[in-house]
Amino acid sequence: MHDPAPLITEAHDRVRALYRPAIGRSREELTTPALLLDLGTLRANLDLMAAGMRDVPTTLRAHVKVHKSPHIARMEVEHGAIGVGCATVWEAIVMARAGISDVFVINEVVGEEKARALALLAREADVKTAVDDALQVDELSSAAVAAGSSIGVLIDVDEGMHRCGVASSQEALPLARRIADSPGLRFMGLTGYEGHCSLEFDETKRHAMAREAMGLLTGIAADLAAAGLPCQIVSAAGTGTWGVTSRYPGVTEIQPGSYATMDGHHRGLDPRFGWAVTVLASVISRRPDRIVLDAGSKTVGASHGVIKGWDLETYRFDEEHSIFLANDKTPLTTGDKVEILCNYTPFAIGYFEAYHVLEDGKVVDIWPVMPRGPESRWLLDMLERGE
Amino acid sequence: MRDLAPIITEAHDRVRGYYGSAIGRSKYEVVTPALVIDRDLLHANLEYMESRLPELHARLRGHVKNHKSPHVARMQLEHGAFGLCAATAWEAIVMVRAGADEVLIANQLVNPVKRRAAVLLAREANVTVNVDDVDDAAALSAAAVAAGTTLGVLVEVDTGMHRAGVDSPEEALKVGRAVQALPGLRMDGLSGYEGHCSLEMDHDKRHEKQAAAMQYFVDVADHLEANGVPCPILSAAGTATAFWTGANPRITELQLGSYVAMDDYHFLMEPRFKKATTAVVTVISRRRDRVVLDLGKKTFGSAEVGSIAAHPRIFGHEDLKPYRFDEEHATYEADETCTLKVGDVVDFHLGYTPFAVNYFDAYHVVEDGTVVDIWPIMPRGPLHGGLLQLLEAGH
Repeated sequence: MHDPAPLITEAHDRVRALYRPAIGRSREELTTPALLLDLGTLRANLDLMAAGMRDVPTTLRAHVKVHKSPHIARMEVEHGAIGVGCATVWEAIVMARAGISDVFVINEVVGEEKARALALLAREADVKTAVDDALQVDELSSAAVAAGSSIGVLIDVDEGMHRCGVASSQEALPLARRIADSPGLRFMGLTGYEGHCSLEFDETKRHAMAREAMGLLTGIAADLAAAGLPCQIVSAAGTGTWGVTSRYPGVTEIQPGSYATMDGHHRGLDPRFGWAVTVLASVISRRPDRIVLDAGSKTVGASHGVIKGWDLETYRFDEEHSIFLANDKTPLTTGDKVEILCNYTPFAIGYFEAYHVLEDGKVVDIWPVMPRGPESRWLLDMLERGE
Repeated sequence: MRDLAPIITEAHDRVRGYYGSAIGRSKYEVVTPALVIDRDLLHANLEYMESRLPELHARLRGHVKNHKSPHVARMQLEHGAFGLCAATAWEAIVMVRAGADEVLIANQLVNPVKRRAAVLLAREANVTVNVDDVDDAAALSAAAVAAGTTLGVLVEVDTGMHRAGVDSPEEALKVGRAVQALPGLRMDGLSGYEGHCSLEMDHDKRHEKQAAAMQYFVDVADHLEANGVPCPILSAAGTATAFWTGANPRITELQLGSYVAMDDYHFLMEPRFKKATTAVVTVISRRRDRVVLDLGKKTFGSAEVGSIAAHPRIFGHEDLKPYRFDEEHATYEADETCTLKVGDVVDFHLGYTPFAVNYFDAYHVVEDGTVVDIWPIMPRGPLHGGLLQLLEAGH
């Protein structure tokens, strides 16, 4: 792993300067809402995953879309991850600049400028991406040739999630040939995220679904190999299926992300991992039948959450408020601080610019969230300028 | 109106530096997903609202939480708004630096850092906040005295939304009297946003709820005034109730915001305002039975407001049924009759725009389909972003 580039260290310095007064304080003293990261729990999660990967035939590729943190990504690599998975080209640029040499955009990249961003990034890192259409292949090839670089390409397989991806060997084969024949591209294999399994909370059913999905994925890999197009990489899995998929013959790497930071949804799938990320909020209004917090849908995100340590029913999430039912036996009063356990943490992280990093109950550092938000074209400009 | 302060012009320069290469180009040539605001529709909405103000008893205090744009806020002030309304202390700081002299933080501050921000901001503008708790009022008073400023206070009344706010005339009087007696605070009146009405899609039922809410609100004001606590300001209304609440002769100001940038959710209730804010997105995968876009819930946020669908969908393909919204993808059912293919760049209805706006750092400002400027979104996200330090440092 390289040292973090100025892009990362400057962002770290910037958020440390913005939130410096919080360092050394306990959570009760922080300005709310704040995104909290408990370092002890994060390390325990990383250790647990590293232990789980010790005796399986696959390697770990940590997905970073969940946390968008160069710091956490580096810790994941220190705990055995071979590289990272990303959802966008902007995440890939940030993670390469965080010092990680193997970055895989596990998504379809469409649009000339995004293809150029990947091709430019491929000059400084081992860059891979996914395709399910000839247009994407041609765009990537042109961009790589123009940049004088080489992009690794995997075919995205729809294993039952019904999002992107080809669904059969018949579809995969011509696409694989096209990649193999395209200058500037390397055909690397297949990627398939069995995300539909992570919507099934019954473990027996979920594992059976994951095995079925892996049967489809590895079957296509076998057909491609028989046609002279061997798959060096067969990548799959999320936090809900990693236990099954990491042992499945023919799979070479797994791509979970939520295991590091966790949330309510994934705790329902794999409770061995702890809540490392929460949202700190204050009670800003206390009525006889409810409490109102200063964190709503514009903080916690689309999937909302519950209050840690309090069994209170949600009344409503507004933009800047969440409201929970409480009676006179609930001893929460105006000004009290509570932690929200998000049902789905990535939505919350997407709104914040920084984590308050806690160790033993005290803030020890501020870490940037990068890249923030959906549009980050300036990262392409940075690559174009050769910075 | 004062000029834009450096924090605004610098942010404007920064996002123009980031995305300025799009200026002069078609909106369909920008890197997607991009947040787009149509300047003509924005003007149409502002002018329509301004044209209705003379017939309303209440004045307009434009809410900014929906758009979080200093540029749009200034346009509100140029089109009939006497002041602005914000949901957070950080929004208030930005909007005063955008040139506003009057800002209401229609929310409980409670946190000592946020109270400090409000009282410091009161050195440079008329700042008013909501209060529903005597202890919070006392702490605000102490903060204002320490800063040597005066803060306007509105007692927040729960008019049926069941969020913050006192829920009886007696409690309102208790809090109002406490505010009246505290140094550094000016008891200005009552705040009572009837937000529950904006969750009622049926026009007639919404009107009934609005009327009941405002009747209660006025009754509370009568109780305070009869007991020696004058309420010169009665502030209420959202975009879905503004013309009803604004016609009530007792209501003095309206705090609507969605009327400017608009979205699909509010358009269902108030189609006289046009959808000025949309996104431009790309089809990144086309399967036999579906189409996948390069935006998801990490771009448009929640697809629901409370439990009501806000309908994020594709322009010209509004009939496509959503299959699933993931973090970075929106998937719609589409058979072979649908002409969309990989690489197509299309306009997108965001559903409830405030959720989307909060994820972005800038608007692509469009006129006749061409990008003419890039405007910053400020403040972005839930943290303070250094705004308090800026006030403490006196710049």
